[in-house]
Amino acid sequence: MSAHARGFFEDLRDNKRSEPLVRLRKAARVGMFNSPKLRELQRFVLDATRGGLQVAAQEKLYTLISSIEADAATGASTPVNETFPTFNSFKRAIVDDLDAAVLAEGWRKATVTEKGETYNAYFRPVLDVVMVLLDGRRVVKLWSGDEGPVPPSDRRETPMDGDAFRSCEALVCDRLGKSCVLGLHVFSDSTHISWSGCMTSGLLGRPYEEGRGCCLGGTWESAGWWFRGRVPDADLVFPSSRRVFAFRARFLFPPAGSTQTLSRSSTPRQHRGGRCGVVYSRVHPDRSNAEGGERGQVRQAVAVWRFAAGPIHGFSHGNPSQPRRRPD
Amino acid sequence: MAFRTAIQASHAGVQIDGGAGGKVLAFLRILLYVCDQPEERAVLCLKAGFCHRPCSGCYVAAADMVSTDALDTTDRDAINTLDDHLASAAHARYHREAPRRLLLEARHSLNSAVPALAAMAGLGTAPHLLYKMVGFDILHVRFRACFPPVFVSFCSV
Repeated sequence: MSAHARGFFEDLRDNKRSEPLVRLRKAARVGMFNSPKLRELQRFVLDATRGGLQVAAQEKLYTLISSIEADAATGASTPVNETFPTFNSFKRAIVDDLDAAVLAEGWRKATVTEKGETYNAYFRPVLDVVMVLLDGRRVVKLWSGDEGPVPPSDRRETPMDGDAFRSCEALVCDRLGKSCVLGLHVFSDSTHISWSGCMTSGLLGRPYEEGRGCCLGGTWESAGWWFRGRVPDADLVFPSSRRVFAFRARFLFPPAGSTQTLSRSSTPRQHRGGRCGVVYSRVHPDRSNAEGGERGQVRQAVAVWRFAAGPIHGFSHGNPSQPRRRPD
Repeated sequence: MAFRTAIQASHAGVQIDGGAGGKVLAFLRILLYVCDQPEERAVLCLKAGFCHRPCSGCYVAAADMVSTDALDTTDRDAINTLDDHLASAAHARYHREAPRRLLLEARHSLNSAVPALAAMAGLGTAPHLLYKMVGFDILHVRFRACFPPVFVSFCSV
């Protein structure tokens, strides 16, 4: 069935139609901002006013700098006038560098047609992102044990170290040769919109199993969904306003600061009454932890107030004395 | 498309540098997918909103959701559900057997589309975690559904 599902999407040939998100123009002059001063200037042009300077503003800036430098003695660095004789060369150099950066990051675009509607999809292959994350790591713990997978237990060391990981690891390591599991935690866009600010109250247990009211009998534990403490990890956010996924790749890295194994029971009700960290951690580089914590507390307070103020829509206490009508 | 190479690597593996251990073949697995409930239903290609089987993890009926009968409900079997899912999607794609397709959709509360993540090893293959991988974004559901009635009364007082 897995091959069937895969074949279904391969038949659509969307990937064949995909192409690099941008194309370098002919005779592109990449890397013209080649001195510290010019790089600083480029960073200002790209960072200013959130989305970078508009073309008109870029022209004004160029005119300003040129007029300033025309009379001044230049010193060691090359004058802007010399590198960019015209504003066009300046503007194109910025665009070329941007395109080169987008290409280097591996962004692609494709047109997808679904039920007659056409959508533009912008994406980066997940595997490439994972490999980039993995390249920067000096120490990688490949297995749950020191030399290989360990037998199943209810003891957890990291959020990744859950039942799902253990069962996948047991299957993968049965193969010939040295194999390991590269686990992925996928965070959708909605997770970022309702960012919890890293911490939330753990009074009521696990939302997935208890929130549905239908999974209490299950013995399965969703991997890494509920754990105590906040563990630093490697997060990645796509640098785009069209952010779709943020991947939290942990690869069983040993948690920084502590090597103590956390005991975890498989009974969800035992988690009640404590204050627990949740899986979220800071992903926006410009958002401080303190700021996120305050925001989370305010949201919690507002949500609790709303909840306490009135009944929940669609929620019924039921009446045990009356026989309940069963569906046909 | 974003997962295309990852799906390939989940089946065939990808070589990574394991440090002192040398080259190791790594197999990608999606262990957790954190999203809100509408997105969960969309990713799994299940019907959203009011439907007969609103739970993605088990076969509980909508009427049993707030009763103790929900405790005895069987989990969604990935093999059977996916089998019916693929059959239903094929019927929809080739415009055939409409009654059979409607029956399959009603049986599992599914939409006639193929869930792309089912192609990922570990989700569509053993240990079949497709319907167990989703964890909810905690702020979307915590204050709406997971407060028990006792706590509701406590807060109201």
